[in-house]
Amino acid sequence: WRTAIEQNPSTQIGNQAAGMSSSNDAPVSPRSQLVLSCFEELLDFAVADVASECHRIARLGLDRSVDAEEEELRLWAARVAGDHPGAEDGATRAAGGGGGNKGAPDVFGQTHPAIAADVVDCMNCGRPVVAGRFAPHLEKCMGKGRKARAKTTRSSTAGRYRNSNGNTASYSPYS
Amino acid sequence: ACPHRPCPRGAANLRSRTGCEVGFWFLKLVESGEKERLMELLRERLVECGWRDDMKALCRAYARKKGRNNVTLDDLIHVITPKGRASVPDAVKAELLQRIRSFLMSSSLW
Repeated sequence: WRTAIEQNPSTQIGNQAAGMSSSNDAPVSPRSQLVLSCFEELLDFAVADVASECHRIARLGLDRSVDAEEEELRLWAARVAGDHPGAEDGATRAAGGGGGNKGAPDVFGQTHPAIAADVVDCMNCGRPVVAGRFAPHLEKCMGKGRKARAKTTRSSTAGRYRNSNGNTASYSPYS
Repeated sequence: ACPHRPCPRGAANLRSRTGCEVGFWFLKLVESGEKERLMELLRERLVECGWRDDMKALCRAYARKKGRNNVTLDDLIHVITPKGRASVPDAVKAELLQRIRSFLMSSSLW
């Protein structure tokens, strides 16, 4: 096979080895040629792969629903992004879609902020907490967090939190 | 015809478009499992840089034009191959070439 390679003149493929040499006139060594050819074979597989997937999508008629789903995801993402600064007016952003619209008027015509603003008292530590941040608060408060476990002593948690590797396993009742 | 996955042109006789016989070395890649690793890497990079999305867009446009039930796999491969080969980012290509080269160099037969 070595002679087969050496007999081949430099073709235009050699110029495409832009990653290997910067000069278009420099001949590509047989070994670089080989490396390049291997890459091209891999690329052929990648092309066939994506063509195969698209062929399947086309023949099964899936491309319509894929587009519709993407469109809905985009709308939802835009809506959520708009809600993050804490804006409460959802009426102007109402758009078609299923349940789970944040900030859009509900069936009673009421709008609610994306992050619930009511303040409740944590039953664990007794502190007032914003309802919309209650779950993360409770996680830390009840000792799920790795860093927040300052209150618990080692002896009481050693058996509970460590797995056989001696690594701390996170314990979350909500997972 | 392979029932699981279409075989790309040229893979059957393992001879590249330049005419040189890569068969022996490509077989080494396959045997060692390196080809699978390289394919994974290439696939990942092509997704990241949007190449895959570009190719899918080309296929979708073609399928709409021709009618989705008239599209054959060969058609699609022909449609995207020229653009596909030309639009691989240099960095991705360089990374793969480097990996291939390292693998071949580590082989005692190189």
